[in-house]
Amino acid sequence: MPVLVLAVSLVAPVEDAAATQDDPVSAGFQKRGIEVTARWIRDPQSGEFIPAPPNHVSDDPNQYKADLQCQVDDNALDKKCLPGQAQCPPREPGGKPGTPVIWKVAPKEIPNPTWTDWKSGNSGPSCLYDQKPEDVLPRIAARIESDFRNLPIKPADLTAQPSPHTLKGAETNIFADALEQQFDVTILGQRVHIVATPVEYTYAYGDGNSLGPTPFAGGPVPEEQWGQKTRTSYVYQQTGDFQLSVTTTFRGTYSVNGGPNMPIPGTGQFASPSQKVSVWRSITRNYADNCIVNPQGEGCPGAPPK
Amino acid sequence: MTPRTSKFARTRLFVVATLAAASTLTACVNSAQPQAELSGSPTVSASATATPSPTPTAAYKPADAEGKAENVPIPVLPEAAKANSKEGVEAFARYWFQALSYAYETGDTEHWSPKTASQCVFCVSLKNGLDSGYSKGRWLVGGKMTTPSIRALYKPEAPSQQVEIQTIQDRIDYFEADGSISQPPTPPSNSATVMIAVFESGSWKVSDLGLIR
Repeated sequence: MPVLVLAVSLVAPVEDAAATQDDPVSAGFQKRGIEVTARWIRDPQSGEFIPAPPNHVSDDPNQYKADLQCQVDDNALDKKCLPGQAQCPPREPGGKPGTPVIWKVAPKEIPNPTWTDWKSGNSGPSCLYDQKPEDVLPRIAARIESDFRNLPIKPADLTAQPSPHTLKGAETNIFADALEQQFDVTILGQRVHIVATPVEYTYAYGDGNSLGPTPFAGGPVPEEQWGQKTRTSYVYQQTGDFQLSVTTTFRGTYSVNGGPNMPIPGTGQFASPSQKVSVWRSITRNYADNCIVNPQGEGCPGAPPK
Repeated sequence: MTPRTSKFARTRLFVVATLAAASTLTACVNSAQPQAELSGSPTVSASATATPSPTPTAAYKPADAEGKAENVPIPVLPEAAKANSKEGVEAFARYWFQALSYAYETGDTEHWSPKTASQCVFCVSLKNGLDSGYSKGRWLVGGKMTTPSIRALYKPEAPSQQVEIQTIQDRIDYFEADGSISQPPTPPSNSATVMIAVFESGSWKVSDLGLIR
């Protein structure tokens, strides 16, 4: 039996090495770069490229456009191309057929880039339904920011620990809980899919102080750890009732009729309903005996009101 | 091209194939595909017969589901890429990605690796991906890289130079030695890349590489 154990210990490392070398891995250039997080950004001051800091949140590095399929110049369609193009049947009986488009993608950073075809996950044809399909995307782009701000985005749930009563001078843990939300809306006759993602939080404590905007939402801590400092905890310096509130900043992307997710410029601010926090003071006094021995003692049931 | 000249070209090509048969068997197999040869210039083939060289240029065949690429042209480091200048480092960057594209087509990194420093984490990851894709008889189809835009931020006194490059890669399909598909394909990509290049003892070398995002 010792022989068997020896054999296993000899073989195991060899098998490990073989497994790592032989596992098929994606060899794609961009994919390898993303996997090793070889992310660089342009330093706005020097104009040179620097490695992105670890907490860097990258925007979509790409830009997108939609070319009308078979379009050769402004008003002429390439007749030979037409029979082979994607079909955009009317979306409702009696409606007008759409215009097939090819979405193109290119990195934002490159001036005058070469565009390549963008492929959607389900790679069906992209269609635009409008009298002037070449104008509809710019018109959506022009209004998407205000449309985004008017979406019924659910703001964060706000929690304080402990609450509704907490202590002056103690760390009160406050955290926001906001979710990514998706919306399907119709803008100018096009089906627009919007994804709203919470990115930053601004906490107002009701005593004139605030925190943020900060990327930290915070999170719950177990009761035995209440009073400990967290990234989003706050110490009230006065007693009283305060209206605690949080405003969540959402960013969005939008996709037109199954096209690529494009960033919505700007952000939307969504405030959560404020909630009352009562801040109390605590006094510590030491006594030599308990309420059974001294029923008249301070704080005991038999004590006279102060 | 008129049908008559086409026939004439084919006759001359047959001579090439016969001569090639004397040298190597593989050359014969490749020359036996008139389609590939005809797409080139027949005059070049004719002059090839006139030269004393016994090995005519074999036909390039890209990889497909049946097998690896054949006779992939080896990229040549241009003279311009040996200069310590903005144009020099730009020519070098173009060559480096040609050598990488060659490695994607062949699994052969021996032209690309000497121009790449081992501390470049992204580069090492690329080599690991290629080694995996070509180990145990596997091969890749696609993955060709092009660099339509190359722009160096050349600073004469700087110890290293930065080059901003648009890097476009075709879709990659992966095959096992037995011809089965080994993993899902990698979709095509279009990215902005920064190359950090160092000029040492007369030649450029990549010391780091990153995606701008």
